Amino acid sequence: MLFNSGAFWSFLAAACCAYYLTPRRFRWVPLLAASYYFYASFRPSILAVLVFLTGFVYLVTRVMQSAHSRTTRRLLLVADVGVPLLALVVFKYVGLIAELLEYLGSPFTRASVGPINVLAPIGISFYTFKLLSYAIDVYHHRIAAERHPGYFALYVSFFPQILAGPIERPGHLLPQLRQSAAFDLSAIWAGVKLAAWGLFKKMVVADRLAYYVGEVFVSPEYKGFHLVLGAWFYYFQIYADFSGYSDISIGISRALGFSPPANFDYPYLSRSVSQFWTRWHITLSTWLRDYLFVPITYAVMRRIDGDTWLGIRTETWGYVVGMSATMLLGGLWHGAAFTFAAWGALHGAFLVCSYVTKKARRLWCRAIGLSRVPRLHHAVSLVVTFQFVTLAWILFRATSFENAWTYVRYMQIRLPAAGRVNLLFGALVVLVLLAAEYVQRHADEVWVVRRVPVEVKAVGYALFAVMLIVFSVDTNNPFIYFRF
Amino acid sequence: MRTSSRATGSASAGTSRRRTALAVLVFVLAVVAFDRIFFTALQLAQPPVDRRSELRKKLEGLPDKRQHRMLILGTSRTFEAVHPAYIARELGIRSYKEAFQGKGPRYNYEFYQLYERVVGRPKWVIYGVDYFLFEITSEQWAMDRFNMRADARGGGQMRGGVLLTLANKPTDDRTIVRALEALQERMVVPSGHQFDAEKNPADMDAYLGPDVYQPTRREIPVTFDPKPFPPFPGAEGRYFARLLEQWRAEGVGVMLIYTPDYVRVHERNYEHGKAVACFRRLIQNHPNCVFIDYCDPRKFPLYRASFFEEGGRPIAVNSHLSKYGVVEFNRLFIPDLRRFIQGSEQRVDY
Repeated sequence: MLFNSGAFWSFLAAACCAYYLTPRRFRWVPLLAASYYFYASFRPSILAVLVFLTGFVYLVTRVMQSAHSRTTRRLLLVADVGVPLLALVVFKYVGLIAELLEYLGSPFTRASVGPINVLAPIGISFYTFKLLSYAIDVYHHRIAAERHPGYFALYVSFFPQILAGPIERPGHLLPQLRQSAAFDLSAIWAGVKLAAWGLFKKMVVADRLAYYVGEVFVSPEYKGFHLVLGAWFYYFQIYADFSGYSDISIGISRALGFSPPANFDYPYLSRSVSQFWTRWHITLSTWLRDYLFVPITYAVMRRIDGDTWLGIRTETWGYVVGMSATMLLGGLWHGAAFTFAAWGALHGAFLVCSYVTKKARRLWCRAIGLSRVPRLHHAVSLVVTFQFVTLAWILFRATSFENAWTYVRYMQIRLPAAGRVNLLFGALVVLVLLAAEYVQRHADEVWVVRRVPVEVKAVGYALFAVMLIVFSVDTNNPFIYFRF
Repeated sequence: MRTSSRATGSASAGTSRRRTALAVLVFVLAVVAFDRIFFTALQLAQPPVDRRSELRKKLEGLPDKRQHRMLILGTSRTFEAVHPAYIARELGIRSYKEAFQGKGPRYNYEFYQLYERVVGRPKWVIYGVDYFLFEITSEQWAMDRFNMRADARGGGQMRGGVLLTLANKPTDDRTIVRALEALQERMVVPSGHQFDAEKNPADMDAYLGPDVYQPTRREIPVTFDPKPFPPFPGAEGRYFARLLEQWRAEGVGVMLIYTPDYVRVHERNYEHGKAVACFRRLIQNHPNCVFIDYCDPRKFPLYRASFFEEGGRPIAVNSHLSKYGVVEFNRLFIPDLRRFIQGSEQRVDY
């Protein structure tokens, strides 16, 4: 049951009715049942993994909370974090590890383990991170362990979020689950609007762009300038795909009376790569910051005696090691392939370079007079950042390093005639996306949006609904991030 | 004072409710109105996009009509698998291929009548059958060539409903895609030859299969949607039976082939055995027909992703051979075809 299928919306209507018709105290029951049903609809067997990990973390964390000895708590934390991580590695990375071992052992032995095909449970990367943050937060006394197994199971399996986030923190979602909201028509309307906009982004923008991008990436030879445009369009495709999914997820959560965190903040407007990571997949980047980057950075800094080492400041060492490791692991989190690791490493390199050259860049901008024209400075930063991020997307989208290299190698200024209409259509779709998001961003400032009567707005919504039907791609394409 | 403010409050609440109700009504009416506007626009956009190929003229213009002794029919799976260029090179026989997406048994039946009239009766027919053969309907753009209406699923008859654009979504999609293709044709400045297998018989002859294959790194965890075999006669099966009868009466040698499916599709089509049995049953009283199933893991490596356009995709409802798959397929198919022709000639001679 994908969000962009008719079956899902029938399921959602039934789930919402059951949720609001149940007394508040017991609302977790229909919601948990709906979440498990939704998850099992992909493959019933994967529910067993989810239930096992949920039960394990629930019990171990309860014991950890009541344990007094520091050593016992540590050991329980290791189990609490280790078992979900082990499940993640077994289901997601065992093939990659076998491939790596085979490659490393190839000079010594011809033995081959053959392809290992483990069908990973969908959403495992997302709910594993939820489980980890819960265990770590309880260990550090940031939150208390959840007593109610139903609320905890719902926190892990909440159906709008289980497939691809947003990665909710326990301290944010668990209290909301305990105090379910009253029926509020305006919240439902706001949720429906957001979900409809998410569907538009996915089914019209992302799926239409996928035709052009897929065509360009599948055989990049002799595609000339289409390769440059294809990479730009891929940026918008993956943005529309994933932020569309997030909008649907957030919209459904709002309609059910919850207030989930935002996951995107117009990332294409970033003026630096570090700013990009505060605007792209925000719940993942903040998770990585809090549970990986900060601990690694402090661990590195603690190991260095004094303010400098090898003439470099301790903070710089902390940042460089912390950021490189975090981005590499963040890249690998996206998929069991070396191209993803390279994508993460490349972003890490961008961030480290940006950090190291910050002062020099500021001086250089002042020297050439760019700092005196802030608007131009912003525009230049935006364009440069866009290009860096796009370059990294090529690695992300390519099927292999060879494919990525071929893609970059064949880039040219010449635009072949074939595919120009798809290009124009793609450009039109991107313009519609940008214009709509501009209006959303500046809704209070745009006179037409502010002053228009509700009846006229209704006509606008009607036009939007029909355009969604007509221009959507009717293929039930899965969301890109479901893979991760 | 308090009473008057309460009265004002309830009056404004009442006004607000009325405005909301009016807005909902406006929304519903506007949705229906926009739906009809878009649907009509798409309908108007259809004819100039679809009725552009003149089949009769194409057949009349065929050089050396008498030399086309073999006719190849089927859907897009046959279009990608069986190639006149290989047959000509290996067996020295010239063939005409009409297999293409959107052409069901009904289209093939009508086409054969026209082909026989304009080009002449072929000596052999290769018909690519599919798991979904009795489910598909010939599409309207194809039936337009015979001035006929396709059935509802082929886009010939529009479905009714509150929202016409939603009820006829596949037709809307086809219209948009064809409009874009037509625009592309108009936009592209002709720099050399533009390939179009449907328009130019020479392109069809020279085509050797698609050079695409995109491996995916990891499995997307999804369940298969098992697909039962749609039984005979289904949507257009009666036209298939009519063709078989006609070919028996005319003494045309017929080779029914089931081209290989990618393993994912093969797994999804779990009643493959039933399909094979059905095709065998249909030709059991037709001595001029043979049926060969190439979608058999013992014969063809169905798991080889590079042999299929959809290779590596975890979800695929249909599959087509790639250029590399065609080479492998021909290692099986051409010797079988040679044997079939020799056997058929013997049957004709004696």
